[in-house]
Amino acid sequence: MNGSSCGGYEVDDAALTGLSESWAKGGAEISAVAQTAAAVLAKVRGAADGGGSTAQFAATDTIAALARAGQSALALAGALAQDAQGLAQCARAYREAEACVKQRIDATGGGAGSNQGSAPRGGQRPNTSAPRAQAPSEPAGTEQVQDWINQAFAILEANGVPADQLDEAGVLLIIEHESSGNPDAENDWDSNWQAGHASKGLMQCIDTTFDEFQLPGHGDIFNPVDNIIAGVRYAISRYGSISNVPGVRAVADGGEYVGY
Amino acid sequence: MSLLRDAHGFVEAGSCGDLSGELAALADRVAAVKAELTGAAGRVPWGGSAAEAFHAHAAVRYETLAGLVHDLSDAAAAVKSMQCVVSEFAA
Repeated sequence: MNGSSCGGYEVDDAALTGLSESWAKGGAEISAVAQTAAAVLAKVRGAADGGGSTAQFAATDTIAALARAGQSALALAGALAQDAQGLAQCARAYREAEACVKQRIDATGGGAGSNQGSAPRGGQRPNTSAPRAQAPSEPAGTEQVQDWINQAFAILEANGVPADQLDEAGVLLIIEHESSGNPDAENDWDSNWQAGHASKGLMQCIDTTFDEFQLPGHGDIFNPVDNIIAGVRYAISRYGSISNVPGVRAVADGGEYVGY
Repeated sequence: MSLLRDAHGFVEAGSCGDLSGELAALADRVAAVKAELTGAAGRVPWGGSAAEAFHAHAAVRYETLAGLVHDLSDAAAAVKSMQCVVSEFAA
């Protein structure tokens, strides 16, 4: 939400993929360091064992220091490899979301400046209570996010929001860019946060905007469905429809997403 | 005297070789990885909440990498110190 609620956004998919590759390479490099450290440790242990009690005594600190370094390297190598996977997943999610919204908008003849919206969601009526993300601070998969969007849309329609103002692909695009699908995302860096209003949840709403646009019974900003409900109501109030949100329009025009 | 000869042999007969140098080289290698990752992250034109979360996360990794450089330098120093102690003891 630009200005009032969320930060701006830009990304180069290729650069993000490159970053993932750099991270993977770094992980492999540290893994090699861990292996060498383990080999050095084995060498010192072997030499100490063959060198009698004086050597064993003298090697005690060395062995401890080497063991510590080896363990740190091993843990770090695994962490970097995991980071690389997360970055690659993030890049994929951006590409998929952008391709999806382009396809949806093209299919319905929408586009820049259109208030007609892209195809509304399907008619499914999912559960009314949304679960919190099972793994806090982790991005949910696209299917899970779509499920939350559908649950929110069902509630929004039940509260009088016309279906043609709702666009699953557009909301998915916003979520992927704003929080990478992490319902527990909380921005502690941008201008909103500096002003004392951290952006929170899937659609990165600030508290005041969330309070203004939440629906009764859906007042948990970190609940993914509640957050989507408030974020969508805010977006429609400000831009008329989801497909008219600047970032969604920009992507539909082949440009880059911008914050809303 | 036998124990001292064994200990002296431990450090002098090449059983430890230049392990201190090898560990120092590893520390340099990790420092280079840290510089590479910091540079790579800084070059990506990526903004927004997800990017900010990543950069905060990456900062923790940079600290851990710096910690590993420190650990490896400590290990290199420990090897050197061990070799000095045993050499002096055996001399």
